[in-house]
Amino acid sequence: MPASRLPRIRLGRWSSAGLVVGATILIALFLAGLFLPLRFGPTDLNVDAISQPPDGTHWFGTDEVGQDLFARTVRAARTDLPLALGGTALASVLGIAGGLAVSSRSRWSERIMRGLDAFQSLPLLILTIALVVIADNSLIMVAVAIALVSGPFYIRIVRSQAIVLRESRFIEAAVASGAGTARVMWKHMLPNMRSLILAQTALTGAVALLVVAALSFIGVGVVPPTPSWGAMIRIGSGQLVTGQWWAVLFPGLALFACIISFNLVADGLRDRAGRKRSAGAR
Amino acid sequence: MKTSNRSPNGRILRLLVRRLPIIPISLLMIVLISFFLIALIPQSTATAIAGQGATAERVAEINRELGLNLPIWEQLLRYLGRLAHGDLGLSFYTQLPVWPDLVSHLPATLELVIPALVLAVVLGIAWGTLGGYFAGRFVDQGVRAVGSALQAMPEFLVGLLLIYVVFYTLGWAPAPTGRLGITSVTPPTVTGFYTVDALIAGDGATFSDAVVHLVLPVLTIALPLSAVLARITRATVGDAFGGAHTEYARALGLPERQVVRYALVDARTSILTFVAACIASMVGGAAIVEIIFNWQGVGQWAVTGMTNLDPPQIQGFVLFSGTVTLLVYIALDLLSMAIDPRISIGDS
Amino acid sequence: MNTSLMEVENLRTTYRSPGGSFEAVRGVSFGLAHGRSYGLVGESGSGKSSIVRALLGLVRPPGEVTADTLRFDGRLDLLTTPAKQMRQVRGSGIGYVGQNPFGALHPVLTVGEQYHQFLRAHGRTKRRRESRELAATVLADLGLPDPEAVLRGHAGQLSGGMAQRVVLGFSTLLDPKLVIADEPTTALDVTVQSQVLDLLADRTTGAGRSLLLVTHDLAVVAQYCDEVIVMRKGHVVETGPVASVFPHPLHPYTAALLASVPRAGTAPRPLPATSVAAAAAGCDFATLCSRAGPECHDHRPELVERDTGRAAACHHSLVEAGR
Repeated sequence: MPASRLPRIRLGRWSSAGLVVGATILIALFLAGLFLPLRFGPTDLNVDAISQPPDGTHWFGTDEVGQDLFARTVRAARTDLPLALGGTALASVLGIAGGLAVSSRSRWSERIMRGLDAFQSLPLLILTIALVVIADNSLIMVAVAIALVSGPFYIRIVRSQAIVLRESRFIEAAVASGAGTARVMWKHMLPNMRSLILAQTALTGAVALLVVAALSFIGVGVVPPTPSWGAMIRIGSGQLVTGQWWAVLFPGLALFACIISFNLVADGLRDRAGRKRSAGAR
Repeated sequence: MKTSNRSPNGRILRLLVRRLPIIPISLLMIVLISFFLIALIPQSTATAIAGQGATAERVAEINRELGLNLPIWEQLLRYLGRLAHGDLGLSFYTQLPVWPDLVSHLPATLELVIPALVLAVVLGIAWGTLGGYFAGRFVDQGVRAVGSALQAMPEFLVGLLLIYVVFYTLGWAPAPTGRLGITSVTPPTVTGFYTVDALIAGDGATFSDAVVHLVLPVLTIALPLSAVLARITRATVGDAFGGAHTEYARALGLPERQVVRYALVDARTSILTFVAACIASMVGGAAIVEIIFNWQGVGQWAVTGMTNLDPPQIQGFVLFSGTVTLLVYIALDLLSMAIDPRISIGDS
Repeated sequence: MNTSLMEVENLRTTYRSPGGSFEAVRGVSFGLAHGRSYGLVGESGSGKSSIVRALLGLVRPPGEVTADTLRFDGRLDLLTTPAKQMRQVRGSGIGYVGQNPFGALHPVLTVGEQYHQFLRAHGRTKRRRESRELAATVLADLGLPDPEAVLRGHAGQLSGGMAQRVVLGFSTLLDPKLVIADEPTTALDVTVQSQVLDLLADRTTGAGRSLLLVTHDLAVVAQYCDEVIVMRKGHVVETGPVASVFPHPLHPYTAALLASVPRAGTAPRPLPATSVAAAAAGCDFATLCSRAGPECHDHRPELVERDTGRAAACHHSLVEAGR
C-alpha cells in the first residue's frame, strides 16, 4: 500500500507546542496566584470605588462591594488550581487503582463495571452539591466531588488499556515466569501506561476545574469572600445585564485559559502516547 | 446464508427478552441508592438541615420526620411502602408533595432541552462531517479550533457571553428572566409547553414571546454540546471516509452525496450512543443554564433541593433522573440493534 | 498491438505532504487491448495499487496524477474528464474488484440497498423493485444460491467467497469494457480462490471484456492472463505475452521473480532483499543484479521494445545476452 509509505504528516511539533504553551500558562497563573504582589488586597472593601470599570488603578475594575477584581482574579488561582489538582489527584488514585483492579475478564469485574454504569447514570454533579452542603462547604468534599464525577471515566480508560496490556506477550511472559499480580501491575503494567495516565490526568484537571467552577457558581464549595472564579462570575452575572462586563469577563478568561491549557496538555500527551504506540507497532 | 435466520426483528426480540429482567433490578438499585443517600448520612445532618441556631426540639423533630431514629431496615421498609403508593413525600421547605412538584417543572425543562438537543445534533453532525470530509485541511482545522474553544468554556460562561452580546449590546433577545416577558400572560395549561399552549390558545403574541425567550438558553446548551458532538462525529466519520468502503463507493461511481451518506450511516451508531448520553445528562445538566435564565425547570428545582438539603426532593430527583437515564439507555440498545447489523447481543 | 482500450504514457502519481513528497508511480507506460487479460505484478510497494487508483481517477489530494497520455476507449482523456463524467466511467466503463470484499461492501446497508444506489447513480433505474430484479439475476448468474436472501442481508452475514461474488456482480453489472481486479483473492480462503478467479475470468475475457489483474502471484498470472506487466519501485521493467515472458524473461528482475516461485522439482530461490538506498540515477535493481555494470548505476534503462509485443527496461537483457 502506498499510503503506508507516505511520509507521516508531522503534527508532532504542533502538539508539543500545545503541551509547552498549556503547561506554561498553568504554571504562570499558579505562580502569579501565589506570589504576585498586589496593590489591593483581594478582600479589601472600598465603598468609594464600587462597580468601577477597568482603569489605571483597578486594572480589571471593581465589583459591587468595591473589591479589586484584578487582585481577586489573580488570587483565585491560589484556591481554584490547588483544589482542582487535589481533586485530580484523588480521581487519579481512584482511577488507576480501580481501573487496574477491574482489568481482569472475570465476572466480578464485569459486575463492577455494570454497577459503575448505574452510578454514572446518576446526575452526579447535582448530587455532589448536597455532599458539599452537608460537609459545610468543606474543600475536601469538593475534591471528593471531583473524584466522584471524573473517577468513573478514569477507571474506564485505565481498564481498557490494562486489558489490552494484560493480553500482550510480555505481560504473559512476566506472569508465566512467576511474578505476582501486584508486581506485574506495579513493575510492568504501570510504566507502560504512563503516557496514557498522564494524558488522562491532564484531561481530568480540566474537568476538575469545571466542577470547582460550577460548584462555586452555584454557591457551594469555595464561598465568598475567598476569591474563586466561579463565584466571581456568579456575582458578576447579576451586573452583566446592566452592562458591567468586567466582573464576568476577567474571571471567565482566567477559567477559560486554565481549562484550555489543561486540554492542550492532554492533547499533547495523548499525541505523544499515540506516536510512541504506532512507532512501537512497526 | 450463514445466518439468514437472524432477521433484525428476531434479534431485537431476543435482546428485549434478555434486557427486560434487568430493568426491575436496575430500578431497585436506583431506589436503594436514593434511599441510602439520605439514610446513611449521619444524624448530625438534621442539624445541617435545620440550619444553625435551630433548637434541639427542631432537630429531634427532623430526625423523627426523616425516621433517622429508626433501625435502618425499618426506614427502608417505610420508604419502599411509600414509593409503592407513588408517594415521594413532602418537601421540607415548600411543604409541597415532591412528585407533582417535579412534574410541574418538567415541561419547562423539556421545552428547553428538546430544541437544544435537536440543534446540537444538527450542528454537531454537520460540522463533524465537514471536518471529516476535509480531514487535515483548512476547514477541518477551523472546525477543530472553534470546537476546542467552546469545549473549554463552562456552560455558564457561554450563557453569560450570549446574554451580554445578544441581549445587552445588540438588544436582539429579551432579558434572561424566565420563560416569558412580564407583559405576557401565561397561556392556559394544556401541555405545559408555553409555545404549544400559546398556539392552542391562539395567542400569537405570547407564542412569539415564548420563542424569543427560548433562543439564548437553547443556544447556551446547544453550542458547547455541538462542539463535543462535532468532535465525535469528526473522528468516526473521518475513519469511515478513510476506510475501504468509501474508496469502494467511489470506485463504483457513486456521487459524493452518496459517499458522504455511506460514511454517515457507518458512523451513526457511535453518534447515536453519544446523543443518548447527552439526553441522559440533560436531565440534570440543564440545571446551570436554567439558573442563569431563571427558567424554573427540573434542574433548577433539583439544585434548590440540593442546596436546601431537602431530603424528599433529593430522593425524588435521584429516582426520576435515574429512571430516565435507564430508559434512555435501553432505548439506545434497541435502536442500535435495529439500525446496525454489526452489533450482536453477545457483545453487550 | 491493438491498444485502443487504455493507453497510458508516462504516468506518475505523487503524494505530497509537508514532510516531503513520495512518488509511487514514476513514469509508467503500457497499453490494454480489447478483450484481453493482463497481469500486473510486482512486490508490495511497487506502485501497482497506485496505478489502479490513477486509472479509476481515485487519487485524491494530497495525491497528484500526471501523464502524457491517459486515454480510455480511444476517446476519453481521463486526466481532463470532468468529475461527473469520470464518475460514470467508474462502474459503467471500468469495473473494479478490490482486495477485501468485507472492507469494500458497506457494513450497515443491505446488499440490495447498495445495488440500488449503484444502479440509481448510473441512471439505470430509480425503482427498487427493478434494481432488486437486476441484482438478483446477476447474483444468480454468479452462482449464489439464494440471491433474494443475500440482497436482504448484510455483508457481514456472507462468507468470503460469497461477498467477493457480490463485488464481482457490481463490477460486471453495467457491462464495462474493462474490469480491474486488485488482488481479488488475497483476503479469501485458499479453497474459494480458484472459484472466484474462474468466475472473474469467465465474466471478463469470457464475455469479451478486458481484465487487468493486479497480483503478486505469478502462478495466477500464468493461469489467467494473456499478457504480463512487471513492476518494480514505480517503474515498469518488463511487458509481454505470458507465453513468451515466463519461459524466457528479458529482465533479470523478472527472472528473479519467476525463480522465487515454488515449483515441483526445483527449490525456490528467495528474491534478493530490496535495498533501501537505490541508485538515484541508475537502475533500481542494479545493486542486487548479478549482471549490473557501471552503466546500470549511472543511467536508468528505458523500456525498449525488444521483440514482437515484448519490452524490457534493462541494459543487459537476458535473452539477447543468451542468444
